[in-house]
Amino acid sequence: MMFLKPKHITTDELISRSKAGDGKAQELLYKQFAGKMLAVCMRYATDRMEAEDMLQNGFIKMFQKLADYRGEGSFEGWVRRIMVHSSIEYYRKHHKMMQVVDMEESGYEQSVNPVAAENLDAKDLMALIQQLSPGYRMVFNLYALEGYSHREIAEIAGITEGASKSQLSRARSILKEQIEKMEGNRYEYAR
Amino acid sequence: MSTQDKEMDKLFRAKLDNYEIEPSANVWTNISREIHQPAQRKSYVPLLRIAASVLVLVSVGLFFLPKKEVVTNPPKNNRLAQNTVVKQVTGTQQSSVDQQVTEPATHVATAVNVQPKQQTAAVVKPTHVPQTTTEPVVTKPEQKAGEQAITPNTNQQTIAAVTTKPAVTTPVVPDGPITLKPADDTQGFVSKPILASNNTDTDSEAKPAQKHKAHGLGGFLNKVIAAVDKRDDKIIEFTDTDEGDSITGINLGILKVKKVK
Repeated sequence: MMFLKPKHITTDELISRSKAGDGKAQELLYKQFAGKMLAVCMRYATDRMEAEDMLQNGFIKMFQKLADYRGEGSFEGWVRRIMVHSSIEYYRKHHKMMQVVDMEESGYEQSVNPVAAENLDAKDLMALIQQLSPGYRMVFNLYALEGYSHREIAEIAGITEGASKSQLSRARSILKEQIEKMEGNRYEYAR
Repeated sequence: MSTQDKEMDKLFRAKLDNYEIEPSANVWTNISREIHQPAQRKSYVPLLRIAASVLVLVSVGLFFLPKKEVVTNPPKNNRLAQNTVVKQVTGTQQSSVDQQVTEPATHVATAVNVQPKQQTAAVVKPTHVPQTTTEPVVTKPEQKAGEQAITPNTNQQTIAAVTTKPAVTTPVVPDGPITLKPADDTQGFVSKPILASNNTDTDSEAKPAQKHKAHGLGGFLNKVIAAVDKRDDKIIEFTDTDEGDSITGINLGILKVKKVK
């Protein structure tokens, strides 16, 4: 369900009203981005409930920091950054460590046709990401989806740059494998 | 990293960037509650209790100071002075002043913690005024501007609001010792404010003693707040309305409310 904000109110206006403490504006601002941000949190959480906790914390932080937002750059990007940091912080607080479990190598060549994944929808891809071990998942999220560099990831995740790189490549090969499997299954059923 | 990898990244991005999942309804409820009523308030309570008890001690201490100091204060205060003016000149000032001073003291017992602080501040503040010659004039506009009275209810609420600003508490205490100074100028002072208050609206001042103190309280509060809060919109403002005394302005940074007459 898409959220459609009232036509005559711009996001900028919602932002300034929210800064002033207008409760209704704050709610509308939340509603405008909540759906997307929950999808972001889902990538970092172990389940839906945890994702919603992350979302809640993230938005609380956002509103608290709203006074500092001066309109530089994309607002959505700004909210997203807060959400990502808040999610990772939440995860680390509630889970002992970023486990990296090496999945068994399936043994076959990974000349995966990336187009194969075209047929998969967002829900499928989300499921694939959630199957990854937390360590791989986080690095893949931050690099491939959020666009951070290995150096930045090292800072955010508290790992070395080298670890970030190796975990990223591991994450990728696992994903490729899973895509292949999914596609294979689909193809089977389609016959 | 191969192009294949980049392709896969791109694909994931494309499909997931606009992906939306609708959250449960209680998420917003929790967020809204948290931003309008921060949990951090709890952490101030112990600090407030300490500050409040210190202020109670200070105000009680001041209460026991020689009468002369006490006398100088009320004349500076809009409402108190007017109350006495209506009845008499210097003679009874002391008694009415005492009355004024005792009122706050009793309020201490019944009202919220911070109240004594306010009273003390009010008591202390006027003593600074003697240092300028234009003080009657100074007090006059202040009185006009500070025409207010507060009902005990709003008083408590506002005090509660004010107490969240620790800054308000600090300036008051050091001012304590200074009250000794003006003792000598008592006589001169007493007369001036009386004249000044004569010119102000004594009509509105011809009210029951109870209300007067409320007026004075509001005026005190406004003055005290003005001393601490240097912004145009104070953290809290009191004004006299037709129905009675009320808060007409609040400025807590993120939240700003002001009644426009």
